[in-house]
Amino acid sequence: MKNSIKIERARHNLTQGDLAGKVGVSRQTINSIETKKYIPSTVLALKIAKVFNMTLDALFELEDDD
Amino acid sequence: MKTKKILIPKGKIWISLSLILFPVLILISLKIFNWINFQQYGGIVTNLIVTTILLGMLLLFMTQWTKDDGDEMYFNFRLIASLSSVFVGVGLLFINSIFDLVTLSVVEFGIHNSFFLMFMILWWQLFVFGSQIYRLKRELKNEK
Repeated sequence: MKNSIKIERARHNLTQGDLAGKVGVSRQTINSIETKKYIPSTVLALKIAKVFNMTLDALFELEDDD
Repeated sequence: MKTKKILIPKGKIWISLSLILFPVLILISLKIFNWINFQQYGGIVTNLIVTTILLGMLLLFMTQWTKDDGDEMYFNFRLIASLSSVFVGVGLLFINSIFDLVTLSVVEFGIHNSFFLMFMILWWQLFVFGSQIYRLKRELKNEK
């Protein structure tokens, strides 16, 4: 699953640690989501989308192999 | 997120480590100094000691390994570790049964021993969980 968290983070001038703090997870989790090694739960995905004031489908996108 | 509440805090990791290490030291001391009659009480004492070690291993699995441990990704790691350890347990029993069939139980492999099986399951659980955390830390370090 593709996501644009890294781009949005840069746009909002947030570090991985800042975003992690806002959504209540570890920096490792944010890093793993950005590098597509971990697919977040719906609750976490919604929290991240809320931080960037975006909808889920604008932030996350399904890939062919999903 | 909610998982953090049911985990033992990282600062209390000494509880599980003591439960693993002290019984081993006690067992070695008992053997060396012959404090008890092993012919008579050996089985009971060994069972008690091994059970304490297994409890320590379980508590170690339920302890925060890093300060960030406890969010949903780590919960996912724990699920993967638990599931794979069940496969290891069933696999070991299956292999042991095949060996029993081949050797017609002439050779005793001892995997039917519940303590050994439980030890292997918990050991595999800790190994898989630990290796996932190690891989994660290494990736973060490489990124820096």
